[in-house]
Amino acid sequence: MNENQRVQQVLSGNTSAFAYFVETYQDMAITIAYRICGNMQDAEDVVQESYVKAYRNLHTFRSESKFSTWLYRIVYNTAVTHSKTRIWSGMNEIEIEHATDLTDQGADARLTERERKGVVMDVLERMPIGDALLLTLYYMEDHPVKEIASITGLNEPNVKVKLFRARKMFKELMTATYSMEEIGYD
Amino acid sequence: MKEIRTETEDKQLRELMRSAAKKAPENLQYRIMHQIEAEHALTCKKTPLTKKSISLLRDLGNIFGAMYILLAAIVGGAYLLLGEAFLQSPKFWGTVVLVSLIFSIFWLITRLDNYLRERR
Repeated sequence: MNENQRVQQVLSGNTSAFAYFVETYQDMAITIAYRICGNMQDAEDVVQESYVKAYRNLHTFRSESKFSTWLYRIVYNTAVTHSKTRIWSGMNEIEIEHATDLTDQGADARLTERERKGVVMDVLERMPIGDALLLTLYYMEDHPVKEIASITGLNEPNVKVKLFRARKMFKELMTATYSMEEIGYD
Repeated sequence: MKEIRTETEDKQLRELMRSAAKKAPENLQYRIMHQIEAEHALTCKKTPLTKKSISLLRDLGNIFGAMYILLAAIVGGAYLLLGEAFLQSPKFWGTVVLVSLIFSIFWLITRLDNYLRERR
């Protein structure tokens, strides 16, 4: 059964069919919300609110776009409203040289999976919200630029430019705190 | 602005990003579905007809129902007392039209009254 058929099922009154969408997309939804809100409690509230909004407005969903894109746009908008932060305000200058010194955490060996996750999380949290979000959308689920533009409301060239900067900043922050070899990034 | 990026670099970035993915807590799905089902239940309780349309149909049924009962009584009475010939006379049809007109005007007044009350 494809997603459009499931949407039709929900619209005809079978609410339990909606569980598929919750189960499939909740992890990415919470990741997006977390990037914007900055804490898990708010992210959970945002995701819950977004799913309820999506359910209420399911009749407006047009199958020209993917369900995930439509849902993530709702999550994005809800999170922005909830956190009341300006995501695309001028570039926050990150002081790379003052980045937390994580190099003490055993620089000799390669980091374990858990430590590496911590490093990536830390670097993403130090980046401007919008940039971290773009990297998340682009690399975590391989969203094409067009879909990212649709989720964030930016235009495609803008997304490309911001992605370029975000990638560069991510790399710089990573190298400032860790050797790339350590985290397995050659 | 030109960027030289290799596939390996993209792959590595992808791996790093995926390692930092967040996982939704187990009870989140339950919370969401619970809220959605509660909303669905509440929406179903609402009757499909609005209060306004119910009132309109009730008035229509009451007034014209009474009119048809009265007309049936007139036809029956006229047939039994004055015979079949009377039913084709202009006097009889005049009576039928008069009764219909009175009830129609009554219904019109009811609608007007409802409309004015709603506006107020």
